[in-house]
Amino acid sequence: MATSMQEAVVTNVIILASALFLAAGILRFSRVNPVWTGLLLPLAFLGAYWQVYSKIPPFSPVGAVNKVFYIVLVGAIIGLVLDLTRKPRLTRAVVLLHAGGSALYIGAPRFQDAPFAVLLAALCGILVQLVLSRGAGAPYSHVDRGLIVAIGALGFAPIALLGASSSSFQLCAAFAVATLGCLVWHLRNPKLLFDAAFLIGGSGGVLAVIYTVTLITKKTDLLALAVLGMILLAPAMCKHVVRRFAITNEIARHGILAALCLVPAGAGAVIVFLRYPSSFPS
Amino acid sequence: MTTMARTVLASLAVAATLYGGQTKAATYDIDIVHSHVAFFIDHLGFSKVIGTVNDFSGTFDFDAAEPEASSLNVALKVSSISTNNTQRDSDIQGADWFNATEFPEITFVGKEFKKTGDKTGTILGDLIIAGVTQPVTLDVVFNQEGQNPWDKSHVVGFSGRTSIKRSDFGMKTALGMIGDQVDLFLEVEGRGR
Repeated sequence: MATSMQEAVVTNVIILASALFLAAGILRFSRVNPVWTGLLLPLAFLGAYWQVYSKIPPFSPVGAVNKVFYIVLVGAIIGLVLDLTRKPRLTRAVVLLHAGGSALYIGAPRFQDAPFAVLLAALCGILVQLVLSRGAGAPYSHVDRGLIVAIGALGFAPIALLGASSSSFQLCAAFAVATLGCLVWHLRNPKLLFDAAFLIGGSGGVLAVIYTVTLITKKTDLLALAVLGMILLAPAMCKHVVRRFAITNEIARHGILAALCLVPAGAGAVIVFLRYPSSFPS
Repeated sequence: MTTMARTVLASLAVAATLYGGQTKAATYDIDIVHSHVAFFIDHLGFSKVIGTVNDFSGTFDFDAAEPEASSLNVALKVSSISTNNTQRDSDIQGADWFNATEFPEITFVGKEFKKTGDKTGTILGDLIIAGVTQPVTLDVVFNQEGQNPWDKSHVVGFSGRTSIKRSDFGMKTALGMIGDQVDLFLEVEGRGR
């Protein structure tokens, strides 16, 4: 049994990641529609939420933290329907709408004092989803998405922690590790669909957490967040590196993409630790 | 009218005046200069962090002869919470804690006032923190009522205390490190209008 808070966090992350790893493995080798693998990640997010807050928030949600839960839940349901109906253009429109809408929903209390900050957050969220929702044709792009979102969430975790939100730290860390655990099964011959359910409920959930820490807690280190945002350049850089060195092995390509994602994620973490105004932990 | 009838009527009039005066509760404004809200919360079992709420306001109706008819409304500004550490004070304004952006005030509305002793009583009311409403009972000691010799205002003073669980209000961050139970202490002076 965990004896400290840190041990409890690690234990929770391990339990969730193990459950996701097993579930993803079962789905991988069964004849189940790969759509359901995409649904695993929003479920991982909701599982992490339950671990962190020990509750299903009331409906209608009170405050941004509760809103996050329903943004993910509703997003996952809508995403599942879109994944099953396979309408790419509609999917992309809903993904972008969800990213912008959830920023406005969470940022609503800031409309009076900081409307531009809310709009900027919405635009940034749309931009993130715009990049992530590109290139969904090839099966490997779904693994790429998973890697980018997982490492992005991992990169935001320390920014959230030092932005006075240890709950968001736990959410992001658990989601990231669960996603990576799920991806392990699909590095070779992937059989997963990280499309609408994953984008709306998964990366949409991470965005909702970022909106909350940035717009409501107002303690996000914006420089660190901007550096982390450079993770969106990783796919293009990866493509360039792969071409330059004529790399054909998919696992190697994933390794390069992961390394390129880890650079801004790590740099963001270093920046936030260096700029944190007092000793840590206090 | 007979003398007896006159006497009875006069007595009734005097009694009605006196009775009316006793049951009419006066309205008081909380005197922020002489009122304090403090809370104690455990830190890893080693010590208790002491915090104060430095900006609040409120009114109450009170009549010592009929305390059950009292009323109480208090609003505390989350931004004024101090634990004597700038970093921590800033952190607890966030969404994981008091969520000052969305819920800038903590409010308490007294609903049921009971006298439990000569100078003691309880106030059951709704405490709203971070948008979550929970019933809370304050144990109250009636200290004194009278004229302030300095400015001749009519003043009544109370001490109060209660304990709440922060998790009941959705604040579950760092429960392993920072206590769930929060002990609240209040010293209140009200100035009659």
